[in-house]
Amino acid sequence: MRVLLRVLAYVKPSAKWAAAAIVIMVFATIFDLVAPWILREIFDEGISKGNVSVILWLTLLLIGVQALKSAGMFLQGYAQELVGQNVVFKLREQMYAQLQRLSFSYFDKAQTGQLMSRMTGDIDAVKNFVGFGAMGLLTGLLTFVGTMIFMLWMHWQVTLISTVTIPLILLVLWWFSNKVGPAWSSIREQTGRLTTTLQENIAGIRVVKSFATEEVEQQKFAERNKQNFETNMDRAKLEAKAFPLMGLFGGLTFVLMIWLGAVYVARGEMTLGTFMAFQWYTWGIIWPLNMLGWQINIMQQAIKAAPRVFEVLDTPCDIVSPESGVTTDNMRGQVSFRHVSFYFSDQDQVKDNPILSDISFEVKQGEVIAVLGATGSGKSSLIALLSRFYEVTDGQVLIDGIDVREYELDGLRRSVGIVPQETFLFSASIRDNIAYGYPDATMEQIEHAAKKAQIHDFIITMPHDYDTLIGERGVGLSGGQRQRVALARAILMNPPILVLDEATASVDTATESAIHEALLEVMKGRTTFIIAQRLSSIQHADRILVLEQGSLIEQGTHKELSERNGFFRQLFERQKLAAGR
Amino acid sequence: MSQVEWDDDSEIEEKPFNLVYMKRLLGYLKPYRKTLIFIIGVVLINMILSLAEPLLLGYLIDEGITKGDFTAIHLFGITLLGIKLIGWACGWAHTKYINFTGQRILYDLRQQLFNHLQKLSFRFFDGRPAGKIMSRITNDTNAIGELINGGLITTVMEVTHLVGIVAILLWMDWKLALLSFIMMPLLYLIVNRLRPRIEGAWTRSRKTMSAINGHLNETIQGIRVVQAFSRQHKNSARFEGINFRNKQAFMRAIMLESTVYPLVELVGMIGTCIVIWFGAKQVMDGALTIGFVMAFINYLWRFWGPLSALSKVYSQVLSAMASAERIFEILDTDAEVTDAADARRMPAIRGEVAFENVSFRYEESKPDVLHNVSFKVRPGQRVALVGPTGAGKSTIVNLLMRFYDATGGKVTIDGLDVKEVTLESLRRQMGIVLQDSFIFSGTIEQNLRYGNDGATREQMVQAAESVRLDRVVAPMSDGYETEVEERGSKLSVGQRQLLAFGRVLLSDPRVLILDEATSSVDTETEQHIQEALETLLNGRTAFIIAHRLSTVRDADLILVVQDGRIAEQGSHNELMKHGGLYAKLVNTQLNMQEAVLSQVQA
Repeated sequence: MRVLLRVLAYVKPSAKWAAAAIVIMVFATIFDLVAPWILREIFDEGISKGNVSVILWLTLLLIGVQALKSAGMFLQGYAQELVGQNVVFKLREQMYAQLQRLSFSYFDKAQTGQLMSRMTGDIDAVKNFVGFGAMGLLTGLLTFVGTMIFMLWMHWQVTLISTVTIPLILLVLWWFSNKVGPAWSSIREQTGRLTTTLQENIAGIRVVKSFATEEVEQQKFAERNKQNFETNMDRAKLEAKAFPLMGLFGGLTFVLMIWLGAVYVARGEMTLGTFMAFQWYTWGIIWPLNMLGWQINIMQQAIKAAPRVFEVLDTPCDIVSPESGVTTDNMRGQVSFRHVSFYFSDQDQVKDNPILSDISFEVKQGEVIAVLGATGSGKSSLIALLSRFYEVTDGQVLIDGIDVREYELDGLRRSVGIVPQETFLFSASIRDNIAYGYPDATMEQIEHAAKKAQIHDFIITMPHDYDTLIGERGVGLSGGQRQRVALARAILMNPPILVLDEATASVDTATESAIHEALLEVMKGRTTFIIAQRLSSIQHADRILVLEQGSLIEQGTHKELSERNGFFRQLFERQKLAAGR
Repeated sequence: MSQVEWDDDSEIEEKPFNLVYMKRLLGYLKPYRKTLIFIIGVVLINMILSLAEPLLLGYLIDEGITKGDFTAIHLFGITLLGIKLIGWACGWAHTKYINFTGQRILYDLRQQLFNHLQKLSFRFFDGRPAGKIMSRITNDTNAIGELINGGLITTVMEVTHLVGIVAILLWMDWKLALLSFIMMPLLYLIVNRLRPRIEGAWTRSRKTMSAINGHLNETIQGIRVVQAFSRQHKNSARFEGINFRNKQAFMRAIMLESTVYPLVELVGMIGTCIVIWFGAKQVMDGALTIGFVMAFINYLWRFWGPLSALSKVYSQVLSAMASAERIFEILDTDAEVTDAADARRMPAIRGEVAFENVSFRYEESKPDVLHNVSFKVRPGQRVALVGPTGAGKSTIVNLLMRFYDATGGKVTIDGLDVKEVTLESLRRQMGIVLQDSFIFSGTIEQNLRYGNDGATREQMVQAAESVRLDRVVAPMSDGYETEVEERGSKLSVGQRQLLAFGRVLLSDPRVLILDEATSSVDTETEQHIQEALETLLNGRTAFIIAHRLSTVRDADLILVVQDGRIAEQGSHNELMKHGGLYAKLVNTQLNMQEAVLSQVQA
């Protein structure tokens, strides 16, 4: 019920339209109730008494009122769908905004397929109820009550006796509503899982093919598919039990009414016109009850789908921009970490080792810092804290002496230009991909950035040079080329702090050397962090930080570090050995 | 901004009724034809019984009520009761079995699509966004399932209904019947003019919906970039635009469609009134009985329900047709790389690999990316591929795995053309660690066992140790049981590379291919892996694409790839002596290291 109330809150802005739809619906229902009465008058007052003018006027009245009703129905249909659409529009907008706001730790756990199915199928289920379903429910209720009143007024004995089956129908409805709810719940869940299995398979198709595990994948999918089939069949069986049964009880009302009615008319205790009108009215009783089954279906779907949507909307964004955050316009890029420790949110702080523990260092504006360390030593996490993609568990990260948590978030992230390890390019032209963080860039600026990233020469060999479209996963470009597009994207943002997170790992040495030459100029005046494995990548570094299992174990210049017999020295010796042999 | 508009593709175009597709769709009903015949039989019985009701009613009024014959009234009551009971049984049977058939066909279709997808070659997936392929397997199959579930039965039921009613009306009084249909041509004209517009409006609505899905999928996939570049506002504005267009298109479709049903009702009412008017006169003249007129009107009411139901089925058919086209497009895409008719199993690979004048291009219209590549590798040799990015290194190993077929020349393993053996037997014996390491959601152990489910725990641990994955797992409280996600941060990029590497090692390949497999792994771990490989790969052929000199120099054979050609080949020493491209590459790297060296000594 609380879910429905919350959905109702979304209807509020379109309250006028909803009210209009309801008012029209009430009038249309009243007409439906009056029409049989007019028919009765035609038979009893017109035909039986041979009064032609009554027949003529009443038939014309019938047509006139129907014309009004038709016009009303059109308006109502439009209004109710508009209300539904307004709700969907708002929900989608909120979901989208929320998805963009949620922090990395949410996406670390979320599955694309599940999110997609919530944004599409579940929101649609809510819409079906808000527009068409709820209105149908109201119409049905009103028609039912109205019809009962009219019939009782016309002939209460027949009405009362023939509606004895109604409680049975309500019983079936109650049973169905209780059973079908959980069924829809598991169907929605299964659909999400099916989508996830599918999404993973397509995203990982290269792995599937290289292991020739197509059959295993087919098995996996078949299992999900079968579960989906079975849950749907469970629901279908409920429907097969409930709907025809309701049809039967409704039909019994009809049978009783006509049977009894015939007896009463034959005895002269009821007019033929009333009998005729009753025939029409029975539909007013049976139809709403039969439709109720479907409407409950729609309602239960919405009730089960809405929480899935709200769950995403209600996920607290743990990282938000502070109110009246510090602007970043004049950021210089002086970075300090003070006793920073970091755990992922799903880690147990007692049992698990920290990702970063007690890290402290200072970086002056314009310094080039190399971060070295074994795989998994926490290099990327260190950078993620700088951009506030995650919140520190302990300690402080400061830029220009101000805690990153005090900066306005958008500005902060624009001030840290990251070239990530894994390149994601959007389905758009190369130009738009490079201008992603700075959409208003001129062509000159874009080309300048591309040249610095050593990708310009390649781009102009493409069929439509900068307007060439590249795919979702940047297919058509090699790994190295994609990295360079991402590099250009970061350079164009002109950030005071630049981070290269193994940005040239997939680039050959010659190109890498060229990139670093070009970057020398770009890095001038900027604070730069370079995460790399190859020593050659860090030759321009002013200072080196070495991480080991989340701790900062060494820091200093090349010379200082090589004099110590630590990690750097060993790395250095190893690579020198490899090169010099 | 010239961002790709997701709704630009014309493939969602609503297609006119296509007989070929319809026939093909009907083909899916074939396995269930017995059930279907049963259902149709049940539905027909139900329909005939319900058609008889107004006739019985007319009989009741004229024979029972008017004449005061209570036997006739009770007889009628019992008959009607019987009809309702039979209707109940019929309703139960048809709801259950049609749902079964519909869901079953949905299941079949989905599975068939998925299975076919597994057969398709890389080219199909290149450049096709995952979101689009997904929506075909979920949404499009649903549209067809719904057509069968709802549409098929509705059609059978309502067409019988309609034909029955018209026949009965004409039989009862053809003049009155024709009179009541007098407004039909007008209705037909109006609806006929509206229909193309309604269809167009729905097409647009569907297109904008697919735009929403596409944009959404990409945003979720690229969320890290979105946030890093603070694009939220721009994206939200764009999404609002797409969202708004969808709402507009939907409302336009609804507005047009909302005109139809009220019109139908109005026309129906006019017909009823005509019958009442003329009927009443004839009753007063004594030409017709009241019961007759009542039955006639009753039939007339029932005439309009089926019409609007059928018009709904029609729009269902149209959207199912569009879906069918998209589904069949996938089913009709032949896998380019397939087993030849007389393909045989690849015997245990010794590891002799040869490329003979191999050339390759990704698409017919595109230029060659490989030109006349030839080289020979002896069993057990370690081959390094070096060269600038985009030179064609990955393409060479892709051809070896037979992910694509060479456009010219041939690729042989142990003297057998890779095209002559079955794909499964070939790929099972080869192991490739890709640039982009994809991890499935599941436990680390499940990921490791991906290519070799039957491996013992010992083998698994050994494979993990060889790539130092044991060190990654050690601090995790759940060990190998730790759950990881596709793009989760529990594993760093380097650690994911290690996992992907371990996965391949456990599958025990006869030929190992490393495509920048350790680019994000630290040097020490990499060296450890290399040493472990020495023993693991004993006697096996390996191809290694790498940029780090340390990885390359010990190779038995170095192939220098440039612009799709093998520019140089030989051992490290030979190539250094030769003083070509390789020597230049090495010297660049040495120079860079020199620079570091001088910094150290400065």
